[in-house]
Amino acid sequence: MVSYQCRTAKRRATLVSSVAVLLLLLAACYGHVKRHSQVSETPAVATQPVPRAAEPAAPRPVETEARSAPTPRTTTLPPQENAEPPAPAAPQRAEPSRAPPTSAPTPKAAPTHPAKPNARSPVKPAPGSKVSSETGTTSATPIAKTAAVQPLDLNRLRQELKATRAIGLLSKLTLKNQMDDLLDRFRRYHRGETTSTMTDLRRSYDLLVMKLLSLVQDKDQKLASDIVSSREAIWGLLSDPAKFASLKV
Amino acid sequence: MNNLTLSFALSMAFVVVPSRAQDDEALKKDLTAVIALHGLPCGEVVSVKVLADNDYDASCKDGHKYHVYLSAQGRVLVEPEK
Repeated sequence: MVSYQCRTAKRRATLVSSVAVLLLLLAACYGHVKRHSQVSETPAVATQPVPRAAEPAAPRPVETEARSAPTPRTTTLPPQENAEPPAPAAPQRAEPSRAPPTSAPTPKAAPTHPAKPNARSPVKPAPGSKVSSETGTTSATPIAKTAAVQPLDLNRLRQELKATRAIGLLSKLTLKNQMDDLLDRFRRYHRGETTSTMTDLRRSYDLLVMKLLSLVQDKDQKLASDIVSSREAIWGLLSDPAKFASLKV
Repeated sequence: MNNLTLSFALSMAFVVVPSRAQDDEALKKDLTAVIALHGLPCGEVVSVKVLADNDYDASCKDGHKYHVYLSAQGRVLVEPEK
């Protein structure tokens, strides 16, 4: 009788210990999953109020970027360069052939100060957003909002692209290869060593950005909105020979 | 003691097996994206054979097979297999 009770107690102890171990592991798993979901479900950055066009343009440091997205190196231009009005983005020889696709605004409409749209060249809203008839400001989707007001911060963009879990390692490497190829094409174009036109380069750039967006937009919406907001500023750097030459690529 | 070990092993089996399955799914999705980024037809990678580090044989849903690997120059290459 005593031995039976002893055996029962042993079994109970074993059962309790196994349940405890299982609960411990489940708790650890839950914590891991919760951490991942918090990272991926970070809300979009709060938008800043859009300044009026009549306000004087305050000098703002513009970060130039060698690589478009995943492997950028950031340098800050001196403030006096930023105080100048934005120069035409594309080189002069590209002017006759410049016929950008209808979905993308011209480089002129995309100055390096995307946060300060003026009355003559308002920032074109992203697809899916509504333009208010009274103010001309964008509204609706958070991506469109941030695209209109966020300045270019390529260093942060690089960090986000490196850290994102939305893209696998091989995909990241493939995208980096394709960005390097595109940068080589821009380099040859600015040296006059290629027959490609600025329209071709714009098409390739748009395609690459769309590939990137298609990979991140479902799992990392904040990064997607950052890419959209930086898209035209990066194009401005790539298409301007002077700015491109100053980049460390 | 043996019972405790057994219960721990069973618990680990519950945790490790899904984790490995998740890794496999992530790899399949990654390879699907890589093949699509190269503009090659695939649809979806349904099975992967790991040949070495960063060296895979991927079989697609539509029957295509690709050798996906990282070259010495750091480029991800996708070669159709017959």
